[in-house]
Amino acid sequence: MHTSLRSLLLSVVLLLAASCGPTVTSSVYRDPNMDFGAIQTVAVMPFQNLSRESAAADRVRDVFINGLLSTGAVYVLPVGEVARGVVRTDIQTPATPSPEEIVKLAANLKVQAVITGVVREYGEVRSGSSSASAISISMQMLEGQTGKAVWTATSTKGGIDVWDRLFGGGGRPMNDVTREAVNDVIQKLFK
Amino acid sequence: MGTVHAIGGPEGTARPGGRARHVPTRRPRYCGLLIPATFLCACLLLCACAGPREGLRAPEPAAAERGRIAVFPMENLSGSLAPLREIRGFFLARLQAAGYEVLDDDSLDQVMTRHRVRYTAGVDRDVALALKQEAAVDAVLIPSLELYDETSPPKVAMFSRLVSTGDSPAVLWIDGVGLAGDDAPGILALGLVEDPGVLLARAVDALVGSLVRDGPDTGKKPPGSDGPRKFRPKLVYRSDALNPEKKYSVAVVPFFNKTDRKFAGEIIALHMIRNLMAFQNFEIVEPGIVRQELLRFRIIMTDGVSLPETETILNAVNAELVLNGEVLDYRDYRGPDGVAKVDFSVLFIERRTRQVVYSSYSQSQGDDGVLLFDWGRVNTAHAMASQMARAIGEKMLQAGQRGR
Repeated sequence: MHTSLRSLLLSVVLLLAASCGPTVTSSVYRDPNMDFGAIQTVAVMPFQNLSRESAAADRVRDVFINGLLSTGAVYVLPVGEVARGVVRTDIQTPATPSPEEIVKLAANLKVQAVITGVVREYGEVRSGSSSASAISISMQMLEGQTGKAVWTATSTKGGIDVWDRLFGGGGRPMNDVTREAVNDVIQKLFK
Repeated sequence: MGTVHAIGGPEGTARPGGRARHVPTRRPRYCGLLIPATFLCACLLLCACAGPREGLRAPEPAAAERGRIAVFPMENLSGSLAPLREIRGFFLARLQAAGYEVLDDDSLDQVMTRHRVRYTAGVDRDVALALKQEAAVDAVLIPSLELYDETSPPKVAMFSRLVSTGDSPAVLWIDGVGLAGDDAPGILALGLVEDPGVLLARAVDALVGSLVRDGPDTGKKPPGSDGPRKFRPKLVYRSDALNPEKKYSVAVVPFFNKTDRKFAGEIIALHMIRNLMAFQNFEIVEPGIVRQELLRFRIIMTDGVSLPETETILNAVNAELVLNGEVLDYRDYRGPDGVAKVDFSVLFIERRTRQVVYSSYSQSQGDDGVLLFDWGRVNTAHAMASQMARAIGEKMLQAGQRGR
């Protein structure tokens, strides 16, 4: 009787502990059937900006294009060429194209994939008397032939840490945080 | 009868009643080191207070006749009111003192009126030919004012370039200077400049001095040197197609300005032209000609230069590379407190391969790497952007580097 009560209690505690645990999800999705080695040229579309900073999307896109080019793994079309393709294929909202539009654009620009992105957070965050730079971005790669998402990744960097709370200082510069987030996303692509 | 009070020590004590004996004074052992140490400290303090003084060498004495030049009206890229006539007057006086024969304003106005020239920030083929044939001018000096801030400490930044006349105008020389009143304050702020007129005169002197020293008649180019590491591009892509041994002709198309600062795109383009010209491997097409071709082919760039546009421009001006990019931040601060910021990216597209051969992202601010006493602080965006542009040229010509 005593033993069964103990086991019952233990089971209840374990169940409670399990229910309090976070749902662990990955910040990366990679299509297992996609041959990423076949992608040689990509087009990076203008990013969607959900932050309060009006130039955030342009800044992040610029850093992302340079970061991706600098890996030497893929060739990124110049932004002017992408803009020309967008006009020629008559895409109304370049930041959020439909799969059909992606297929048309990829054929027009002769690229194997198109990358879109969203800047969710960009700028200074405050908590009490502390403040720091923070960024949150997400990217997705859409296959040129089908318009289907084959890779998505998100990254959030910066923010207020213990050091900032204790000693202040305003955190790291926005550009450093942006580069770190972009590098993180690119590393997730090549993992 | 007197007493001799010698400094420091029992040997120096006078004997009462006796004849005063001359006792050699002996200083403590550390006293000999005190003066050099003080001097060293003073020198270090002076050095710490000194800022970068870009191109501030005095003009060389007037040589023989250097040729006939026309000085165009000052291009105002500062986005604010500035004494443009006064600055142009400085240029005219200094150039004449340096031995240049300067075309008078009436003759220049006549040519400009006859050919309906409204754009004076560059020289196209028609204007260059007209100036050569009708006014017998050998070259045109185009001064551009980048920054004029009278708030104490004042700040001044400007460019100047010399373009040949005739049927194929070419950039013969270009230089720029960025000065702040507190670049070199020295001890007790004795070196602080509070009069913007003094800074203007210094800037013009520096530019005319550079023209005399490194201009087309001298046949030499400014020496290239490795700049500080902090100004190097933060992200770099360099294609193997870029040959560091080859000489490239570069057409610079206007940069996209995504900043609050007016004319930041034109300013970065001038920085790039100036610093690429310092390398023997690059020959820059006069921006006035590029502009003329852009207008002729009605090329309107909405979001960067496309490949057909690149091809059109390069064929029209007969160049191998087109340089384009965007400026994300170009900020000077007013008054004594603040930080200058520069943030831009560049893109070189090659005519033969129709591909990007170089792309980089550069970002710096004036207090980068500054730990003590404002050591190494850069007070103007001009001085910083200049070093960043130079670092891009160096990176482009580094052989065997691909990727980061």
